[in-house]
Parts: sequence; C-alpha cells; structure tokens
Amino acid sequence: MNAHSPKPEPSAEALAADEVFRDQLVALIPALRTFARGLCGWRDMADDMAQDALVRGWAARASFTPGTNFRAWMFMILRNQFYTTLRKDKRMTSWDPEVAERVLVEAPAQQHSIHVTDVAKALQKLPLEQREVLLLIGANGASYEEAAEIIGVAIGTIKSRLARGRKALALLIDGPADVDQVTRVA
Amino acid sequence: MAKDTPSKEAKMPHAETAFDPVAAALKQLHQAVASEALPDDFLRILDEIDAKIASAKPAAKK
Repeated sequence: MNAHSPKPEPSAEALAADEVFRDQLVALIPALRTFARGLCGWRDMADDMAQDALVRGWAARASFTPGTNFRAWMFMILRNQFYTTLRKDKRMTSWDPEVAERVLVEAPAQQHSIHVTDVAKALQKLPLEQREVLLLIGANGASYEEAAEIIGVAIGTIKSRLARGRKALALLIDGPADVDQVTRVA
Repeated sequence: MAKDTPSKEAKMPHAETAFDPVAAALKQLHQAVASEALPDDFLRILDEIDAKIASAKPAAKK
C-alpha cells in the first residue's frame, strides 16, 4: 500500500463481491418493501424503512458472510430497524392484544376468495409477532427455518405463531361484522 | 381460550394441494408491491451504490 493513500485500494475480488451484493440487494427490494409495509402499515414509512435497510445493508456488507442467507440477513436489519423505531414511536402500531385474543374465539372462517386490501387491513389488527411471521412465510415465501433465524425464536414458536396468525387473519377477513363489533367495544 | 398448538394449518409454505385463500392473498400482497414501479428514492440509492462501485474500479488491484 502506498504510504500516501488514505485507505487501501479495493481488490478486484472485493469489487466483484460488491457487485454481487448490489445485485442481491436489488433483487430483494420487493420483498423488503412488502415486509416493511406489512409491519408498519403505511406505504411511505415502509418505503423509508426499506430504503434505510438498503443503505445499512450496503454499509455493513463487509460483515456479511458470502454463502450464508442474504435474505435473512437483510430482513433482520429491516426488522431491527422497525422495532427500534417502534420503541421510539408507539403510534406506529395500533393493535390491541385483547382485541386479537377476542377475535380468535369468534366464529370459524368461511372458505371464499379474499381481496388483497382486506388482507392488508386485517394484518394490521394482528399482534406484531403473528403479523411478521405471516409476512415472512405467507407473503415472502420464507421457510420456517429462515423465519426462526430472522426473528430469533425456535421453529416451533414460528409454527405456533403462524397457526394463530392464520386463524386470526381468516376470522378478521371472513367475519367483518363480528370483528368491527369486537374492535369497537375493545 | 384454549391454547393454540402447531397444527396442519401451520404448513402454509407446503399447503399446495388445496386452495388456501389466506395464503393466496398473502402472496398477492407481495406480488402487488413487486408490480409497483420502484420509487425514485430507491433508484437514487442504487445509483449511489453504482457510483461507488464505478469509482472504485480504476483503483482496484488485479
């Protein structure tokens, strides 16, 4: 290294790795946006979070181990950022655990087609711990193992949250009258 | 209320045999976002990354 250079020159390998990293980031943008939007419920805020995750991921690329799960690594960055923001601003979430528990014991779900916007609205009424599992596995196609890695819990916990989240989501979508009533009285 | 335990319903990623409207709607959430045009702010970030890669190229060691 030249004594006058302020920092070492990047190797060709490092540059190639950066280009691969960049391509992986680009490919993941839709999934990051979906996850962020499902978590916070607001498009603009979600896109801000997804952008911030991109910037943080790029800045921390040296700490990513090639060959490990890039998607899980980026989802963890986004999720950590969301929970950090949530702790600072409690208005970001409006779910009420009491409502969610009461919804769970309402009438069983009916089988019929579901509108996407209804699902998006219903998701916002679920507890975050169920919502994030539904988003990771149901919307973004993550495996149980990936979701467990991202959230930092056991696979059994993921399965349990997924089952409860699915049940609650189906009830929220299929029983709007009941849910509205439950939401109002809570 | 009875405690929920992992059940057959938990197998969303593998539930390919019967149509599941909840699973289908969740996948559509992703597809809806993926089909949107990428906002300019994202493109700006990617441009900045590309510029950093490009500026490092002349100096890169073989």
